[in-house]
Amino acid sequence: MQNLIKNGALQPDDAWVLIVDEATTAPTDAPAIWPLQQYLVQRQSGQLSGQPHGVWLNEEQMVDELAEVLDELALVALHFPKFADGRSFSKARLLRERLSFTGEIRAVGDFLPDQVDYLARCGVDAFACRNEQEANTALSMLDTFSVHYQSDTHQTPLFQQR
Amino acid sequence: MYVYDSFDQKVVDERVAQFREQTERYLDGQLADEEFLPLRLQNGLYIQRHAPMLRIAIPYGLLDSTKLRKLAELTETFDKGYAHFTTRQNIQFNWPALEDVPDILAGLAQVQMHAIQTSGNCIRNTTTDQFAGVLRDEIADPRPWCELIRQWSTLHPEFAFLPRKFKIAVNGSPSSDRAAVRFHDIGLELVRNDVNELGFRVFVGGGLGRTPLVGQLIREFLPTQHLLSYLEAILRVYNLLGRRDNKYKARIKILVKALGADAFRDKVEAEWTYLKDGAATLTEAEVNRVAAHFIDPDYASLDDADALLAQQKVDNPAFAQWLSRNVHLHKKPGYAAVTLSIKKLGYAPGDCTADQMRSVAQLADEFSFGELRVSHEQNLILADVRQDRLFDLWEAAKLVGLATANIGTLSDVICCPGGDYCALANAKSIPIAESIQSRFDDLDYLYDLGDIDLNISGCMNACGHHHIGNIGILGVDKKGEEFYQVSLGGDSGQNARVGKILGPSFNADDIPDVVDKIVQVYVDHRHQDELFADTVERVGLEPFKERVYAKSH
Repeated sequence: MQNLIKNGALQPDDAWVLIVDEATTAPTDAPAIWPLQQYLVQRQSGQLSGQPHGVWLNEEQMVDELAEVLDELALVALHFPKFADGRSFSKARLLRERLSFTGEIRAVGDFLPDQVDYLARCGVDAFACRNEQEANTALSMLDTFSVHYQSDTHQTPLFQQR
Repeated sequence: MYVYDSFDQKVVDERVAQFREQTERYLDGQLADEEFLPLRLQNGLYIQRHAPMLRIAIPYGLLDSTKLRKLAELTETFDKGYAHFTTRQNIQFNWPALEDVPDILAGLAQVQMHAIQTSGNCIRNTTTDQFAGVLRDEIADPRPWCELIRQWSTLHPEFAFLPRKFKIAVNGSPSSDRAAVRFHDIGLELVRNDVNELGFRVFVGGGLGRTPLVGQLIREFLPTQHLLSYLEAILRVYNLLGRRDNKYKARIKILVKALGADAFRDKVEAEWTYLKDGAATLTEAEVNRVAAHFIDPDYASLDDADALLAQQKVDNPAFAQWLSRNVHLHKKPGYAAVTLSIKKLGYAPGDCTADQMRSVAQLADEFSFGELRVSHEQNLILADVRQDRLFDLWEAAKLVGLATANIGTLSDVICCPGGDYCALANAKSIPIAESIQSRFDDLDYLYDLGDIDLNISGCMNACGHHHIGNIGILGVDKKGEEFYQVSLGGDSGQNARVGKILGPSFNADDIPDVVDKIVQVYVDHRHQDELFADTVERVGLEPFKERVYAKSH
């Protein structure tokens, strides 16, 4: 995967393969990010490889649908069908704060560079940007604000620091 | 007035820098129109009929003379020398150039102002009663809570891309609701419980627009320290479950209606069990820090100036009228709150020139500790005026055209900018307001009619709050022609109600006659001292329909 920002830096060599749908060939020698339903089916039939597993959620799928399998996952991707759909912001927080997920949370799809600092504050730590220019812009916008009023997945609210 | 510390200042300064960079990327072609759209909207920038429109926040309606003078200067440097006060405690510039907006925002940041989240699908400017902090019957001052909400909602990372816009209002007075909290996405009413602890009654799912609904009470008592975590729970439920397939069905009111208030409440309470006592729980130190900015000004120890005012009233009937309509009781003996009317005939309701702004700033400095407020009825308030100086204030306000004694009357019209400026409007609204104001220009007649809310919107987005006017007028488009639908019986207060449509719509030219007939029916039917709204409620729409739609012979 190219144009990936991970842990605050561009990540040129990422092994994960995104399985868009059933038409995408699943790799045998690389970790895959599965659509949730497909992952559940593969898992049920014992066909998962020994590679690390990831799952992506579409906009309608909620994080509690992952509860049973979350321990097996090294990565959860949140898909943006369009950047205006803000559900993934809440989902990322729920994954980190409610479900205590410590693996990678990756934003994929149609999000804007201007959203990455909010997403990072909600617990997303990897961003699969649409192109190189956006990846560079996104990287420069990761810390647009040095002060945050609210608590997030990294810090307590400002009023506790005042 | 809340004064920024270095943290608050940094937030607005960094926001200006961010928006400058975003604007440059847009002008460079790096950001597409549809990508720039949510970014500019979250900085209050619309693309309008004539030019961009910039909406600037006046948090919970509070201004001071320094801010107002800066607004005056900015309208002259970057616009046409006037601006428009809206029904949501904002002020709008109608003709700024896109390229200048970062500089306007930088100018605002110099006086601790901003345009953050004044538009877009995020949490908007929190509003309250224009008399907050000076009322005798207030349970507590709502302004510190509004400021705490302002900070919490500003650049909230989770709630910047909601299904739709989101509006919160706070009211602190048990006997009146001037903030229309039941017509907000979340309405908060300060209350005390049986052991005298302060808390909030929480209403959710009110709103105007295409589907006007009164908010539902989902919590009778929320202890104040839990304010932000409870708001977070409501917002999270809405963000995850609110409809996103149809923008007209995306407001939280539709979700509350679809689930039912009880089921919605259950979801919020379930979410809240995880958030309660968490990081967002307010500390006493923070509440005290913010509240300390809203302590009383340095009031003199005075008695009420009854004898003096009585004499001045006898000597000046016009002053007496102004006192009775524009001057409000104050919690502090010897003081009063004064509404300066910007509803003078010939001026669009809410419009204010740079010169008027400077005049008001001067009056605020001279008569009211340099502070003022903006009301959702689009007027300006000097909240702390000595009673023994009211006469001087009246004379000074008259000189600059701000002493029209019409507050609460039919000519104190609430009106959106309408088709003259707004790209969304189906019809003009300002000329309608003007035609009614010029028909009802006899103050004695207006006083005889008493309090009547007349609200006009140029489209069903309801910026002029037509649904909750005692008389509401809505501009509608029929095959390219402008018509006006009239509703009666709306009420924005504790007795919250959406007005009922009278019948078929009217031509613009007919509206003054229609309003006149409505008023005549009221005069014919009213009991002694009965308010217009009460008469409408008692007699129903029929007598009004009969008179208004009677065939002329």
